[in-house]
Amino acid sequence: MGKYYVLVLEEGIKAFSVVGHGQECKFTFALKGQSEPFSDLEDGDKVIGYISNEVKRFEYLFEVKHSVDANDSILVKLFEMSQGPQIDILSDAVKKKIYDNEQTQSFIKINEVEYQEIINKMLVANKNAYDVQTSENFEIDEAKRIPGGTNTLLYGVPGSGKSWTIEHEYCKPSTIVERLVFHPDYTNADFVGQILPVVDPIDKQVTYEFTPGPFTDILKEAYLHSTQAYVLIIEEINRGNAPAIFGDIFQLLDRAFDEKTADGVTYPIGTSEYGITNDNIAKTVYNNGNQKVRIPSNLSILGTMNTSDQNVFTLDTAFQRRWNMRLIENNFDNVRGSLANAEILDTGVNWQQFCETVNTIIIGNRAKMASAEDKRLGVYFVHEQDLKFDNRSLPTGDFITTFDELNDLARLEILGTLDGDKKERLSDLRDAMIHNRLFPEKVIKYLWDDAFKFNPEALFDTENMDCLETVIKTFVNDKGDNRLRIFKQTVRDALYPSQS
Amino acid sequence: MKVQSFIKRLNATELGLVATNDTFVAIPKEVDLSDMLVDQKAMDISDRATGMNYTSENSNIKYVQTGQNGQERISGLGQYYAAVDAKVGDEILIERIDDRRGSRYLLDFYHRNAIVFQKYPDGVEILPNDYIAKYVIGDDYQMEVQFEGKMCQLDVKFVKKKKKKVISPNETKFYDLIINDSSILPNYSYQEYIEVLTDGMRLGRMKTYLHSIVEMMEDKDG
Repeated sequence: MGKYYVLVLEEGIKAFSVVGHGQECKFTFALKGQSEPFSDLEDGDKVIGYISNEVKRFEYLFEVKHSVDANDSILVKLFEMSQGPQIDILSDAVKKKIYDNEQTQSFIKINEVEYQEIINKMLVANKNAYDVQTSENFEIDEAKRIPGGTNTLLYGVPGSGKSWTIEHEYCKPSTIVERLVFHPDYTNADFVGQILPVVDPIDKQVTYEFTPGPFTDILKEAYLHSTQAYVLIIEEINRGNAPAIFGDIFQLLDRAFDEKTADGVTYPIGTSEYGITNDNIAKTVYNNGNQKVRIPSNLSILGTMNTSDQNVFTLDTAFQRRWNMRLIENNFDNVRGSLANAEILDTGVNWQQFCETVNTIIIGNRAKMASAEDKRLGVYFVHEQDLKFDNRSLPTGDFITTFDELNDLARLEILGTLDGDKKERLSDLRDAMIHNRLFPEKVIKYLWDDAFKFNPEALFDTENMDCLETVIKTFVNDKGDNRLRIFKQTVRDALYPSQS
Repeated sequence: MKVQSFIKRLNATELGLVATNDTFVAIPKEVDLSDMLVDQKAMDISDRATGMNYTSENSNIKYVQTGQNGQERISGLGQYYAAVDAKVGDEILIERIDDRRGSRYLLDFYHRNAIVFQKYPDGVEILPNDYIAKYVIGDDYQMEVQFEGKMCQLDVKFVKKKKKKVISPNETKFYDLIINDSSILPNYSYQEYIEVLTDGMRLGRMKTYLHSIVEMMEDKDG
């Protein structure tokens, strides 16, 4: 059975940082008082690198590949962490063992329980750390890999619940999820990785190395942890130029529907059908620049896109073909009651009623609008909080309107004669008015400026209100059902059937 | 790629604080740096922290064998010690890197903030640095230290004043180190260094040097 050691490294010894993961190095060591530090080392022993002095962190894990003699050993670096756990978080017993010996020894023998305690802390401290693997099982066993990886694109109107669906239907609690958002400036270099200057840890000189992006990072994680499910979520995939961002990765989106054998390895269903040559990714993920890159079957990619937005890129057919498409229906079936039934301010109309009424009109507006369906209000278009009426905006005392009261208080504020109570009232009034504008500024503006841009008369009372400013002002300044005077009579009849 | 590192924790002699003003790093007999250093030739060496280059034109750092016993040293470090404000117990790193860019030497320095004692037959000598001053009580010193995993009171009790050698110009103060009414000095050997790291006040032996070589089996640079 292998033995376990803590190797006390001085802060200045940075040579191990240039040893690659899985790479062997010959380590020769001598220090005062331990003339033969490696005399007990045997093949397969594990050595945890501990940086002493002020750092006091566990940052390396090595395995003894071959103990040459009492002063030389061949070590394999299994992993390195940039910010490993500090000794302070270990149990008192382990701390004591290290503290008692680190001043006099550089190899401190520990037992398996102590080793596991340190390793567990290291893994928790850095989820990017490699699995603790022995050299014997360093080869990944594809037979144990979770199969069935897919690429799925969820689309629907803004606020229809795409992100909610991903979280509740596609991700189990144990799934490791990485989420990123495409935007017009997002590039292949951001996504996959790029050559960046890095400071050599030993001599502080600048060198240029491939720095992986989120795609390569999760690819590596998923490759190394074959029994763990991973999901990469790309929000707003069509806000960036997706085909350009994916670049050669595009080819990897073709997933195998059967087990596939290539280069002597049988890959599970859901692995990339075709491997590509990409030296930088291959070196990062497999430690071997010649290996063909494939998306492993335990990594699924989910994308979301709004179908109605302007300023988005088109996704070509070849790109879309490689994704399973999933329309997220825009209905209230799964919407919580507190949102669906929430009254819009003091109008007496709830969100579901409003949303469904307006969406019916939008769908009927096809003649005037291309892809009218995409212009519907998403059921999650607003937040529940945005709908609540802040009644502090109602006038108090002898004031007939809110604006009379606001103007009076503002005048006193300018004169500097505002007392404490009135100061507080003015502050409340302003907060309440800002809050009560959230709904019209978000929903009414969208309907006027976007959904009914070409024929506002289909929804609004354009005979009396001919611009957005008047519409918003009317909604904000009126009370109760009068706020919805902004809509034409047929719409109001639908919203207030009892009044018609 | 091959990285050879030699770390030394400095004593007063190496810092030029006693006897001579020589400033150097003494290389222990049991350490073979013949593969790392070139005898008698001024070294081109860079300070890892500041990037300052010490060359034959602006310094005289070199590996030499000197004295009657042919002690190996890296000498000419006065300028560097002054620049880094070196104190007894601090750590200097000298490193040689061989890679596709050739060979180069690097220097680095770490302040360890240690109170350092050295054992002699009459007790320990307190090696001169500033860290012990605040623990003075009359002729003695007293501090709380971690020793064998427990916090204990360490009494540094004055024993006598005596010349270390007949030819020594000055007398040296010697002290006993007492924990729980017992001297701990029998646990230590002649001229061994004992230190208290002010960070955590841990008392223990001082590892005076460390030599390591890390050689990549399959060069990362290709």
